[in-house]
Amino acid sequence: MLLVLVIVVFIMSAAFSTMAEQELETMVRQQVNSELEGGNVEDADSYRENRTLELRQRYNLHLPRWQRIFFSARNVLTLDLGRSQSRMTAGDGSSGVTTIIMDYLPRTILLFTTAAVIYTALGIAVGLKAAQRAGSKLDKFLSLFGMTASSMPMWWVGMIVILIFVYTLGWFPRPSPTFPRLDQLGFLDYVSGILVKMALPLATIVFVLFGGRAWVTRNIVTGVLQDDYIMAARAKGVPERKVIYGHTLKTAAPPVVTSAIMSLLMSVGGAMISEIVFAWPGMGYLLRLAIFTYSDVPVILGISFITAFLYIFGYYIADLIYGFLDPRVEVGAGGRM
Amino acid sequence: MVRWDDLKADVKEVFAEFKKHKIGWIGVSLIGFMVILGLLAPVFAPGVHQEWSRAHERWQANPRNAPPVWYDWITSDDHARHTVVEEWENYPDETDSKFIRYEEGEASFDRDLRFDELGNRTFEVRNAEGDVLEEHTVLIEPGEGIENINVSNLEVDPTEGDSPLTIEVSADITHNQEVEENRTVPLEINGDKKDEWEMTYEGDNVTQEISETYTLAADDYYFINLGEGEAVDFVKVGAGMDVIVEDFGIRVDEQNLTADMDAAAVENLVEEERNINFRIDFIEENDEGEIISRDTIEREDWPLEGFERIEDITGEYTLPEEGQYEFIFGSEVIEREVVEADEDEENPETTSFTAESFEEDEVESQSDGEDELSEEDGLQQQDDVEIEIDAPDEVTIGDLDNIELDIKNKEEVEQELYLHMSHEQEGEGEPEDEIILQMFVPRSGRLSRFYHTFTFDYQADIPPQEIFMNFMGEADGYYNRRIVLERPDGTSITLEDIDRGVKIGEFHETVTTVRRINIMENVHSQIANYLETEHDIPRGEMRDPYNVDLPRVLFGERSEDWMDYPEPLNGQYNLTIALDGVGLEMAETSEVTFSGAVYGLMGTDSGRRDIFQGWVWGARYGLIAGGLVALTTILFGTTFGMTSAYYGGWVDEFMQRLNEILMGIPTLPILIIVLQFWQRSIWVFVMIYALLMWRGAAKVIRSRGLQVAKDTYIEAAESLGSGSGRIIAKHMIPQILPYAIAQAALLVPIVIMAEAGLHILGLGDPNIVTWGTLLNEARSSGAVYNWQESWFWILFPGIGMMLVGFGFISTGMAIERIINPKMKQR
Repeated sequence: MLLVLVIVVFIMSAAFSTMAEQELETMVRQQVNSELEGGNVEDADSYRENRTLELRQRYNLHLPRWQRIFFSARNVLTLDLGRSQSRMTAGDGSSGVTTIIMDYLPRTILLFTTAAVIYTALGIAVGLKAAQRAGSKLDKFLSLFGMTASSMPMWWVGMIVILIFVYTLGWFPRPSPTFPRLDQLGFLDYVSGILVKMALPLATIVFVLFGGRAWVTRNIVTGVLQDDYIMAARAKGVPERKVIYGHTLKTAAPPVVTSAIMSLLMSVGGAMISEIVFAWPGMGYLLRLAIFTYSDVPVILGISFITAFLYIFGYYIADLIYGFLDPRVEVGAGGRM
Repeated sequence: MVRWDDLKADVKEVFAEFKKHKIGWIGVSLIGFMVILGLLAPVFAPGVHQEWSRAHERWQANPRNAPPVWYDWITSDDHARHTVVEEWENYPDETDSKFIRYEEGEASFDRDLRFDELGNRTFEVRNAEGDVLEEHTVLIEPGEGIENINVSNLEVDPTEGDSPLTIEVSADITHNQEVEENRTVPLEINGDKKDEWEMTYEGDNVTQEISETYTLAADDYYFINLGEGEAVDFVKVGAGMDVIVEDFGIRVDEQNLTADMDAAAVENLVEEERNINFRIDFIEENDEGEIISRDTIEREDWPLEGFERIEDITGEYTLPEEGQYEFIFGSEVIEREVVEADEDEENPETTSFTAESFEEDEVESQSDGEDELSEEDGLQQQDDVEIEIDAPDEVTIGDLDNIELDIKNKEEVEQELYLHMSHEQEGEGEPEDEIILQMFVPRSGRLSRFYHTFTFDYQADIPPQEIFMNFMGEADGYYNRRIVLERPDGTSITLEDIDRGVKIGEFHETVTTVRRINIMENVHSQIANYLETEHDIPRGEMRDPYNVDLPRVLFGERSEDWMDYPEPLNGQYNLTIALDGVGLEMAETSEVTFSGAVYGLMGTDSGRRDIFQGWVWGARYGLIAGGLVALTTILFGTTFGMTSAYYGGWVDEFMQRLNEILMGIPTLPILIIVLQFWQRSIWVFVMIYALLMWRGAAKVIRSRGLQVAKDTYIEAAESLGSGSGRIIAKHMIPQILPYAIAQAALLVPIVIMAEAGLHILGLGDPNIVTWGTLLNEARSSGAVYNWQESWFWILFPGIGMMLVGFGFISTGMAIERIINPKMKQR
């Protein structure tokens, strides 16, 4: 896992250092110029020279490229993401990228893990039901629904949901990036505020993802149900409930869980974009702010790296769980059938 | 090539199997349909992919936010279709003397002037060098009635404090004349008489300052009119009033014609939830810097929850054309900027200021381009010219305090003239001097008239959204333009009758009915006259000019309800554009567009663009991107998976470790870095996806390959001495290909959705149009707020993605279903 992390960080640092050279130079020039305009500097030329040198050193622009890549990767791995270069600040007023991201990250995790728990549970339950009655109306509906839902972009569904429930029916407040604060409201108000805010994005994520999940679960389970030992179990009179929840689930659990986590990881991008649509102040919202409004290089970089960390982390959690559920696999040796 | 025949047989077999799966057929036909649409994109919408956000001219005649043509089927009303009329007839009666303005060898100008004070005014005509050619003194005298009272410095401000819906109106009112009695000054709000201000007489020319507070009904725009047409002010009242905007900035990117807005802190002083309104207005100014028309382009409501809360607000907007814009945030922060796309500025100008300093920073009128022009073109022959001012000796303030000056150019010479007015103020020494008119006296010559009549047959319930007139030609300075709409009931409405421009040479004019305040006022006064004379409706009970639904009125039946809810008047309409001027030449390219109430297959967006044209290009780019990624996935995935499966042993082990590392690489962060810091291009996006997406397919293909590699015929081939490359290519790949295709098919919708999502993040390719472009524009221009006006804008790009996604997913599924039983058999 660490190896992958290091490799990914190096790839991204290399990409950044190569591509953003120009951008950083411009940034340094602009910063020096604005400082010259703002303050009353006596000797402008020497100040410009010194300051440019200083800033170039801060961004490691004076070093050869491979060293830059190395330094930037080292900084990222030690979670030293630098300071934001624009007006962006964290809630406590600090401009450290890590603190800014830490402001937004918990909200993303809150929304996304809640959604993940709900849709995975719902998906697996419905998938099991459908597998039990393969070929039934439920089964057919499920595959159609799963296919349709997974061919719709989550954030587009979000836009439609907002159109209908906020602006046409008026059941929910307009999406706004303001997040309830515990220090301003009572605990109950705080929780209910979050719940009201979360309802629509949560419902959207669950709606879009659970169909596909149920359908994949159903496919895996039907596959297992055709195995000989299930037939044997049924033949020897094991009750159907036990066949499903005991025998089948034991075999089906590893692929079901891994595929659930994998699809979870795949949908992180979609969920971040949905945050923008719902004005949910999480990582995706922060990213758009950083790109569009502030063009803040360190923040954009920081978000990319943190997202990458989370992805890799999630990926290895999936691996661990697989090993945990499937006794044939030794943890760390990679998950393969 | 024996294996190829086998492959053909396989394909035939697959097709035979395919026919048994309905879902597969649906998928394949969907894909086929979309591919055909994508292929035909250049036919349906030539050039649109590059011009989507640039060429405003392409779209300007279209209606705004018009629903699709087939909207008629789901509503009970008939909507007027979009009609472009390119053929015209000459007006039958060419001797219509109304249009004649110039005599041979003479040119004259009328100008309405406004006087704030009584007394003598001296008018001087000077040439470009500043030599006085003619001088005339006019006495401005008071008349009777309300006109004796002069209203100045009218100010309308929203009251600060608890209630957001009160305004404070203040003005200076001066008695001009010895009318030793008290007077009343009427105050109208949106055309309704609201109050009468009592004014006590305190002496001649004594100025009294009066201010009053009024409570208004709702958040709205209000026109405040004090006196009789003397002082008008415009105020927006409502949301945002008690909200302090601490930092507000607009960055205009002139190259892409976009504006980024951010307000860093907004503090709500009222303890209630409210919306703060952000608008971008397109404004048009006349030479004096007065706004003659404004047109709201974007409008977004920002909710503010709770009070004393500071939050960040951002938005980005597309500006439809070059020109002057006002960015109004709340009701207090206004920023005006001229957007010119021609300038290749590398760094877009950044302006930001605080609300507190707004007073100082207040809108500066833009420098007048014509100043420079006329100085350059000024001619030197002024000595030969005889100028004559015809002005009355006395002018009574009364008939809208105007004065008619006739300036005649006696010689046949082009001449640049300035009319100066000075006012001798008692005891204040130097007279004030003011340039009030700048003009170009054209060479006298043949007076040309052009009458173009365009015919439009209106058979619907909902009228065209607007009339868009487009004509060009060459003029020798001044010309008169008259636009008349003849209606099927025999009446006619004059839309416009104005003198145009001090321009020499080519002109290209576009006139629209919805964006011009003068047209609104013209039409309104004609209808008001009719209602007053025929139906005895007092003017006070009518709508004000800016609240009239112009198209409905123009294409509506004459009745008591003409101004409010007229019945549609069907039949043939003739629109005549009459131009006359000295040396006028009209190009043969005039056209008039009666822009529809409905438009195209998918309607239009708020930038008047045809959504269908963008949509087909979206389909094309989506399929190209998805297809390319799918192809590379098949290629890389099969190569990698098969090599790994065939060789086995340490090669397999090594390649599997490698694949696992690849699986751990997240796509989104890499995309962000590369697209943000390198190039926002769809091809870069495709490249990254192509490099990263084959890893999953490779895994599936390898596990299938392991089974195939154990097959007896592979062993047989090996024992016959076939090389490993040959075995992989000829024996294994045909077995594997369906799996690879199924995997790749599932990727296509993922790629398309990811590409569209990047637009929402702000990382989309700005140079082309994809479904993501459409949706991002819909989102950021607030289409979400208005379901009725723009449902089609959000719906169709998403449906496009759904169709493609459904097509590929079901095809992939069908292939899997066909090959799965085979797998079981072996």
